[in-house]
Amino acid sequence: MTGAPDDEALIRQAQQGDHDAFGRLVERYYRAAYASAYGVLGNASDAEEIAQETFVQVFEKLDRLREPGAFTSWIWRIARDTALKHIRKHKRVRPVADTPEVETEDRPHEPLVAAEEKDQLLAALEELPEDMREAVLMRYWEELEYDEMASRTGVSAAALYQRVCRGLKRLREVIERQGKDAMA
Amino acid sequence: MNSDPENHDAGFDQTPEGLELIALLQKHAPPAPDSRRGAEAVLQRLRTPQTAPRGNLLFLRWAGPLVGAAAVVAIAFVVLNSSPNSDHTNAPPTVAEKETPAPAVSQVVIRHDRSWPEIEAVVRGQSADGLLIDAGLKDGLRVGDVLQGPRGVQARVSAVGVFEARVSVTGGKALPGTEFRARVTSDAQKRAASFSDFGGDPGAFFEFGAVVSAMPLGEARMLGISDGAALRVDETIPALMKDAGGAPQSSLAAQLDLRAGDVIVEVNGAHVRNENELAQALGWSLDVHMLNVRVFRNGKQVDLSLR
Repeated sequence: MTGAPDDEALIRQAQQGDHDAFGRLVERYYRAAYASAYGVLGNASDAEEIAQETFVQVFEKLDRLREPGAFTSWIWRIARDTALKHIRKHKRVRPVADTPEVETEDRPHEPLVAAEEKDQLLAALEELPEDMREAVLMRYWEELEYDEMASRTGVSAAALYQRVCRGLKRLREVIERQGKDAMA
Repeated sequence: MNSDPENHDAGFDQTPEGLELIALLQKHAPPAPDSRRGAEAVLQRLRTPQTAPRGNLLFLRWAGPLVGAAAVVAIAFVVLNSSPNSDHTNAPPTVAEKETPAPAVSQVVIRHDRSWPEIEAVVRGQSADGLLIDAGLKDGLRVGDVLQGPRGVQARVSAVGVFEARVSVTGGKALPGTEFRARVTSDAQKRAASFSDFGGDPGAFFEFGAVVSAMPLGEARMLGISDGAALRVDETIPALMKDAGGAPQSSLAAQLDLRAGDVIVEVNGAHVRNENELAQALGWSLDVHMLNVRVFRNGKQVDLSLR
C-alpha cells in the first residue's frame, strides 16, 4: 500500500513544513475532498469551504500520517467527517432540501423532482460502506480512470473496478428500498 | 452467501441498471471546483497565525515521561526556532515562524503509536465558567478527566461536548494557545479517540451519551435480527457536564438507563441498522427530547423510554 512516489515525496516534504509541497498536494487532492464533502452536504459552496477546512486539518495532523499510501483515503474521511460536523453544527440533519444550491441559481427552473432525486441519491450514498462510496465517487464524481485510482490508493485497478461495481449494485438496492419505504 | 461477489458483480456497470445509475450519479455530480484557487485559499489560511499547526508540537517537556513508555516512539529531532519573549514557551510555532529560516533551537517531535493514543487539546477561548479547549468526547475526553499542561498547570474537565470541553485550571495560568495533554486509558476512549482520524460520525452518539459499534452479523442473527445488522453499546457516558454546583447532569443515555452491552435495534420505532441510521434517528430525537429505544439486553428485549 504505497502511493505514487511523487506523492510520497511531497508528503515527506510537507511533513517537514514545506508549504509549496503541501500546496501541490492540496491542488492534486482538492477535488477528492470536495467530492467527499459534497456527498454529505449536497451543496457546492459548503463543500468548497469544507474542502479547504479539510486541508487545514490535514496539515495540522500530517505528522501522524505514517503510511503515505493511505493519504487519499485519509483525505476522503477527514472531508466527510468535517462535513458531518458542519451539519451537526448548523443543523442536525442534512440540509440538502432546504439549502439553496449554487448550481440551481444557474438553473432556477430545475424541477423539484430533480432535487428530490438528488436527495435520494445522497441518502443512498450515505448507506454505502466507506470503501465502496469512495470508489464510486472517485470514479464518477472525480472522473478518475481506474489506473489513476489505483496509483492513488495502492489498491489494484481490478479490485477497484469490483468495488465500484459492488457499490453501484448496492446503491441500486438502497434506492429501490428507499422507494418502497416511501410508498409504504 | 456461497457465491463469489467478486465474480458475481463483475460488469454491473455495463448493465442497463448500472448505466442508469451511472447517469444518475453523473447528473448530480458536483460542479468541478477550481483546485488551484482552492489550494491558494488553503495556503492563505495556513499562513495566518491563528491556524498554528498542532501536529508538530513542541513536546520537549513531555519527552521524559513519554519516552519511558514502550508504546511511544521518538522518531525525529527537528531544529526549530522559538520565541524567548513568549509567555508560554511550549506553545506551538506558528506557520509563519516555520517558514522563516530558523536559527538553531532544539525541538523533539514525538510520534505516538496509534494503539496508545493521547488526547491533545489547546485552549481556544474563555467562557464565564472556565476555559474552553478544543478536545471533547470524540477525542475520548470525559467529565472529571485531568489534563496536564506546561509548568505543572492542570485542567480538570467540568463539561464536555462532542468537539470541545470546558475546563477549570489549577496550578497556574493557561492562556489561549496553551496545550494540554492526557493519556487515553479505556478501550472505549481509544475508540473514540480514533474517530477523528478515521472519519467516524460520533456526534450524535456522544451527545446522546454512548459509544456504539456494529455488531457481528452472526451474533445479531442469533438475537433474531433478521438482516443481521445492529449496533452494540460499547460505553455509556453518564454525564456530559456538571452544573454550577458541581452536580453531574445525566446524559440521555444515562437517563434511559442504556447500558454497555445493550444491542440497539430500534429508535422511536425505526429499525436502525448502522451508525448512519442511528445518527439520523438520534438527530431528530435529541431535538425533541422524546426518545424510545428498543434494545436486547442479555438476550431479552427491553424498551427504554424518555419523555
